[in-house]
Amino acid sequence: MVAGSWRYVWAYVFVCAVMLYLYVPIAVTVLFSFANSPRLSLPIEGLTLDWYSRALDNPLIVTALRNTALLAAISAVGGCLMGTAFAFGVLKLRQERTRRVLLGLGLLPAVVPLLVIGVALAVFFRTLGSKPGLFNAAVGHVLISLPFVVLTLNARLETFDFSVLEAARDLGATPGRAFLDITLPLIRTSVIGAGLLAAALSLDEFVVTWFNVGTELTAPVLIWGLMRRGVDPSINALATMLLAALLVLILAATMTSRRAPQ
Amino acid sequence: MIPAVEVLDVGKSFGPFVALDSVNLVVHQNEFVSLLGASGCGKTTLLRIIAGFESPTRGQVKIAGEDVTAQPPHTRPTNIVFQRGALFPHMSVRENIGYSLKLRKWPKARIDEQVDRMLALVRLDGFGDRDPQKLSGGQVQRVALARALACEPRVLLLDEPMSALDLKLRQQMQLELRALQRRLGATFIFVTHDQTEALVMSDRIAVMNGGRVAQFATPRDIYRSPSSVFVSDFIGQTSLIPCEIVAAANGIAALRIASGAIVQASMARGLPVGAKAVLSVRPESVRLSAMTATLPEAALTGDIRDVIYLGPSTRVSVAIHPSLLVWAELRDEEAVGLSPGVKVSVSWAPEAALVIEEGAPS
Amino acid sequence: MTAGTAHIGMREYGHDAREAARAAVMLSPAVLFYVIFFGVPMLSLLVLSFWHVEGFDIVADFTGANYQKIASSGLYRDILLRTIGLGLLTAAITVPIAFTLSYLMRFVFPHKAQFILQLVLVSLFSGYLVRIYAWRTILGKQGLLNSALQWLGAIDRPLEYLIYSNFAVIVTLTGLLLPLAVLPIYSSMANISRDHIEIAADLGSRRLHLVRTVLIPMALPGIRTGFAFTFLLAAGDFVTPSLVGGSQSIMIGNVIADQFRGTGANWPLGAALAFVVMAAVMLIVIVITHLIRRVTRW
Repeated sequence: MVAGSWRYVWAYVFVCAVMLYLYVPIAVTVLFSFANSPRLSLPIEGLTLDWYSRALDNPLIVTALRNTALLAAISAVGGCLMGTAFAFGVLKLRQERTRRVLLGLGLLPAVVPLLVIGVALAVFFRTLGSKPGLFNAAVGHVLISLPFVVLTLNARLETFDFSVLEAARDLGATPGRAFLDITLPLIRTSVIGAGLLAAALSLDEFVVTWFNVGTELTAPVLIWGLMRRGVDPSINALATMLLAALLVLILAATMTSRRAPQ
Repeated sequence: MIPAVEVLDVGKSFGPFVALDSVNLVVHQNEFVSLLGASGCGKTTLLRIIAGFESPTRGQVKIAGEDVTAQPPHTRPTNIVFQRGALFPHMSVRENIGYSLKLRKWPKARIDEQVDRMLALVRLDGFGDRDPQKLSGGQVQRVALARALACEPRVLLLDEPMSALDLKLRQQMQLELRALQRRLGATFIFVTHDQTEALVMSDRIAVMNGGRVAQFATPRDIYRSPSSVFVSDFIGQTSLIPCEIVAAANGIAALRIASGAIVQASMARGLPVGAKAVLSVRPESVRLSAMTATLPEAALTGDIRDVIYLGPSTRVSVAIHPSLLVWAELRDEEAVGLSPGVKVSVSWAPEAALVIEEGAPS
Repeated sequence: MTAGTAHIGMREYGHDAREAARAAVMLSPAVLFYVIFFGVPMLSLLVLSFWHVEGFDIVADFTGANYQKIASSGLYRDILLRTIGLGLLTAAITVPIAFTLSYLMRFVFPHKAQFILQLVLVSLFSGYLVRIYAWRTILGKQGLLNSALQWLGAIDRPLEYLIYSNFAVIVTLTGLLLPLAVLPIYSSMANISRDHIEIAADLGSRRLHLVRTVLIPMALPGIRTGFAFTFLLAAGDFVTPSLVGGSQSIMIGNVIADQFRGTGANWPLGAALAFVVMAAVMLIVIVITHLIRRVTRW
């Protein structure tokens, strides 16, 4: 029994260490966004909000935030509409194999390095003669958020009891009416959750954006530019704001999908 | 009177798989009909074709004389109770039951009134505001029943609605459902794989096998005069004994079985002497008696294999031939002294046993 | 499948032509989007890799020159080998950690598994650039780790190799990709019932033997996916080496990125490099999964 409880302690330590590994970078970013020494080292002497005011004084930040919000909204709406329709379409297919293949293809962009997606899109748009800019970046954002929307919605629909739709049709509802009365209320939270996830992915997306956005700015592109220039604690302030937005979106996404009726 | 439902030469294939192979079925008004069969026999597919969820590959479905084959489910005068209720989880019990009435644009007051009536009908008064996810299995099925009955369909379809309930509850709901159907005077078509359920509730039973209706008759006829070896074997316990016809007169045939014994049974269809057939005898018709020396050589005898005590009765298997068992179901006092290895003579009244053509359509 | 449960699942739903048409309508927007903005671009990248650059113009012809150049150049070969080495090392560190974590979640802390999974998932979406940058803060010469170690008296001088090194690249990539390895491995392990483990334990399997003969084979699909994810995405990353890597940790991603957004841009060469690295990774993944399967067979 003693050996057993030691094993339990080791297991506990391991899990905590992994969580620390995942979360220390985030904690460090937040911590140093408030630290008053510009050297980013311990010990921290005092707290300040200076970096935030410096970050917000950056004349480019308004454009960057506006563009980021725009892209996030486009991926949320575009990814959601197409991803939801796709997930439903896949479930309507009769053949198990066709379903699996289509689903696999739908997830493919998630396993291709973002670098490759980014340059492939850049090549494609250049061939078409479309100048790099927000539109091109938006296409990239929708593309990389779609697999996650499909995955989320598919997980929900796998447990969806389709006989309630048949019941509604049987009781006199047209297909459209059954969708509005039954399907939509039942999957709404999952769709919103997937949309929030898509927005979060877009908010954080840098690689594909960088190859396609041209001279336009988004928040991650701005942060990248600052990082390349050297140590600047206002990056931490900017990053913390981005993290806060991401955290809100992700928590909202997981909360909504957990509340979905089974 | 126009039949409630007519299924005319309906077939259904899913790709190479034939789910239904030429089904004909005429259900009268106010009749309680069960579609009985093992899983995969096509009974659910048939029900779904009547409801409009599947379109038949060929054939025709008529409801109250009108051809509905091409109609979608929402315009058909049928409603279905699903195996697991399929209640709308985001609506209250009241909203579930009233859904079809809302779609038909009934005024609110009338909907409320009808919903209350339905709740009373399924004995769930006061449950209107409950959340369906907080109901027990039996309650869910009652609500599903009320929901399906609310807009007073011509035909109610039930797809194994009790298969998820435990035995006690199932038995109670069988009787309730039967009484409800009598009271409403509606046509019920009930899918089940449980023969007792079908026997208890139905006016007529359609026994299905391999995408066909093997026999469509009253429970008594299904049990007493199965039309095929399959039906006889499927319904109740029965001993099936291969035999050859040696003589026939007045509907009674003399048969030779593998052990060489000659036995008698009733024969509905006149089969020629010498024909191979199958003898079907229900365990409750079989009599066993201890061996006496005076038996004729042709009498049927055997050794007791197993004695199974069932409470109200005792079931005994007798080997009349190395590979041939006959089952008998005896009352307690009849079974006294019977134990494995005992030699007994086996007999039955000729009217209680039935000769079935060997190749009869299953 | 037919009778009893048919209408519960969606298997039998949507059988006739009308339903098939409806499915096609629902599938078509996403499918079209994928074809136009994913399929065609990937193909154009492939086509481009066979073109070449003259002066500042891309010449559309069909030549294997880019691939030849990659094969014959010692520089590209070194960088490619280093990329694969670093990618493999990252995957080789990430997958065992993910496996152990999944194992503990599934069999030691089953009640906290959902919570842990939630934490892992949240970290996956919280700041790609931000987390790489944070590792620079942590591992820097004057960084958190060095100053903490000095303060504790464990070292006199800052450890130089912590930052701008392969070490930093691997630490950062592992942190970034760990969630992507945990998700498939945990979900494949979630299907293993406790009974399997207990039966095997009853049969006298020793712990390690149990892991090798029961757990790994059963979780293999997830392990394979997790391994492929981490390896491919690590080998394709260019932000990490450029922010925390040194001159000795330039990876193929940096080279590719430079071909597209750098000064001496050469798009066709960049395209060829992208396909070479993806093909190499794919090949190695296939070989390694075969090896794992053979090792765990007996």
